Amino acid sequence: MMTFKAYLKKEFIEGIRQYKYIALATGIILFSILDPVMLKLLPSFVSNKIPANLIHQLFEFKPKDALANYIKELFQIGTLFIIFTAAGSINEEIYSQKIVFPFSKGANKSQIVLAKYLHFEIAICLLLFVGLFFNQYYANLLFEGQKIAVSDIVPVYFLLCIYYLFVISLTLLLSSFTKKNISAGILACTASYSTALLSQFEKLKKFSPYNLILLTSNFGSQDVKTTLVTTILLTLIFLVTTVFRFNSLEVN
Amino acid sequence: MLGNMDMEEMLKLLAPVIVLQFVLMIFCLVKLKNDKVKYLPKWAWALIIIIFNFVGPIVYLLLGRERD
Repeated sequence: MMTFKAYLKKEFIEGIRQYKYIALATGIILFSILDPVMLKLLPSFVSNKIPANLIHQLFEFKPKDALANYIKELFQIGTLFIIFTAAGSINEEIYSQKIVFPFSKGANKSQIVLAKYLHFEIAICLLLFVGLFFNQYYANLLFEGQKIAVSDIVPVYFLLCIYYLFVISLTLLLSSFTKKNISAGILACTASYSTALLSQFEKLKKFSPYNLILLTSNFGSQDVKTTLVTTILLTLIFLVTTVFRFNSLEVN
Repeated sequence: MLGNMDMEEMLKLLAPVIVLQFVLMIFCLVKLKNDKVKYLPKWAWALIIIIFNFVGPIVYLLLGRERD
């Protein structure tokens, strides 16, 4: 237990030293402010190209549209920031030989992986909370129509947290199979975006973790059970596989 | 003037984002001056940081710095 606590503390310190939190915060919080502002300014930007009556019909956004747009941006670009922040976590430990000292002191490899996972889990959940809070504030401030209530935000928050926990477990797994963080990042991005392709097939849709993103856009009004169970199962499988893979790697 | 929104209103809306981008860019340029870099020369990283809003600085922080 002491090893786990020490390693978790080490992950937080390293997160600060390597500016991981700045990257995560930019990826998650930036769009929460930028999206509603850009949506608000969009009619002004295109006012010279589209007739005024059409602008009114095309760009009449409500606060919930701004939230849905934020979730979409978060998936398209925020995921990149999250994946590339986590991509070097496992392989750097092995190939830069940082793991040698704690391992020779009897550090438990499983706990090292779990500490890494928990560290990202805490950081992402906190930042998502702040991001959704900012987005709700700006969306309600800038757009007219039915305001976003806290009760709308809560299910969205939990579904997004679960989706990004899946993404982190996938990234850590791929990081344990690659030597460079760029390769791990590219593979994790490909796999994450492929889940969006899976959801194009009606029969497979509910088994695709990306369905959580689609459900958040509908404010969780549809059945989420199957997607939730599949995503949590996949997350656990990826985590256990990462632990096994990390245990089997030779530390020089 | 853009549509029914004047420049002052636009700037007020975009102020938090502009400030964030500016702070991040300056921070990364100062880091770049003192860091050892990899993959690209320093001047190329400086261009990336300046040209690509938000993404450039983060790419530099995550991929461009030589770790100790």
